[in-house]
This record gives sequence, C-alpha cells and structure tokens, in this order.
Amino acid sequence: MRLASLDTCFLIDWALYRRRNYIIKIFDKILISEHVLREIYSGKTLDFVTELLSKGFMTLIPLTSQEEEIARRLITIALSDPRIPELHETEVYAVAIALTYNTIIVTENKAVLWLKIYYPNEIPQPVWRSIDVLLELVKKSVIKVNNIEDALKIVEEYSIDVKHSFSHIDIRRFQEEVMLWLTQQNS
Amino acid sequence: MAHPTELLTPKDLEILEEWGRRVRREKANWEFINSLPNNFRKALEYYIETGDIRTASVKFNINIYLLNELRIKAGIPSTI
Repeated sequence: MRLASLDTCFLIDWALYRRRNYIIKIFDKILISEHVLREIYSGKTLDFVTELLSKGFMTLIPLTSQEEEIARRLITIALSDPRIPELHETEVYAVAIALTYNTIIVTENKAVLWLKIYYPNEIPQPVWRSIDVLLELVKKSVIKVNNIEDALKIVEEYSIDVKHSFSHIDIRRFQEEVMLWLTQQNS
Repeated sequence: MAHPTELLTPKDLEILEEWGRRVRREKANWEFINSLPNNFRKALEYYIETGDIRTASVKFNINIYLLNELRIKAGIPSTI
C-alpha cells in the first residue's frame, strides 16, 4: 500500500493544477492532519480536499503523543541548526505522520526539504515535491507520454496553472529520469 | 531510477536559493506589491527574499492559503 502525508504548502499549489485528481492514481491513501484542514477554508484547495475526503481517498489523522514527540525532536534540530529554515506546526506534523505510518512525505516546504537533506537519518521516508509527483504520473502511465517533449509539456502545464518555476537542476533530472523510463519502455 | 528530490545535495540547495531569489525578484509585479497595505507588502517581500511562504504567513499573521493567492496575483512564482 502506498501512502502519502501531505502538507498545506503542497496542497495550496497542487489544488490549482488542472490534473490535480490524478494524484489519487499514485497513492492508495493520502493522510493529512487537522492542522492542514484548519488552514484551508475557501477556494479550490477546500473544494479539492473536501472531494478527496468525501470519496475516501484522503483521511484525517488524529495526532497522538507519538507524533508530538517526533515533532518536538525535529523542531529542536531545526532550532539548533542555522542552515535549517523555521519549521512550523503543520509541516512538522505532516512529517511526524509520515514517520508513524511509513508514508511518503509530499511537501513544498523549505524546512522539511532542508531537514531531509541535512539530516536524512531523522527523516528516512522519501520526500517528494511536485516535480516528483509529476514524474510518478509519467512513470505510472497515468499521463501518457511518447517522448520527452510530451513530458516537458506536463511540467509546463503545472507551471502555468500554479505559477510555479522549476529550476534547471530539477528539469534536467526530470528529463533524465523520463529518458531512462522511455528507454526501458521501448526495450 | 531516482526522483529529482532524492538527488538534491547541499550544494544544490545553495544554487536553488540564489536562483529562486533572482527569479522571484524578476517576475514580481512590484507596482502591484507596492500598492498593497503594509503587512501584505512586507509578507510578499519576505517571500520574495526567502522563498518560504510558511514562515511569511506566520511572521505576518496572514493565512497561508490567502498569502498564496496574493503571491499569484503579484506574479511571484513559487520556486523550490
């Protein structure tokens, strides 16, 4: 079973994407905390979350002392390391849920990303951003692509819908992964 | 096969920080930003400099969803 723990930073962007519902094709269940729900009270993000919750694709996870303990530990690390941006409640609980339930963390939050890169042992779960979710949609053939141009159009669509700019580093790696996948598909 | 985020290194983060700041500054609609009330303007300026919408929303006490809507109206791309 493939689970994902999502935070607000990711959801507020992903909800604007024209193919946002495709995310349920790559995860069996999406977990969120009440902190995420509390922040989203209008617009496309609320519509999206409401739809996923009502159809059973998304589940609200109550926080226990286990998640509180994980959150405390991660915040302590972030506070003691000036390289790590400020780590706030909603995001740290998304990570804590991921550690408790062994899920992929899907985020666009700097602090979570920086923590993952500098302290990989503290966050052994994979951390994905939107570029990784888009890549997975290609690799799982949720969005059909025949060549690299098709794949880059997906990235472009997302950029337009969400007003997001992907770095040359991410675009290059995305391209390389898609090329490898296409080669494997054609062999 | 690896996902792009798995491949990020600390050196990449440095590059992403510089690149992100430059892109956000260049694409921002400064006329619109400067027309906003003080708190919203400062929140967007903070976001442009740091790329951290969560901390911007907490520091300036603006709901993150609303701040993201404002980011888009101001032409500032999200970059991470």
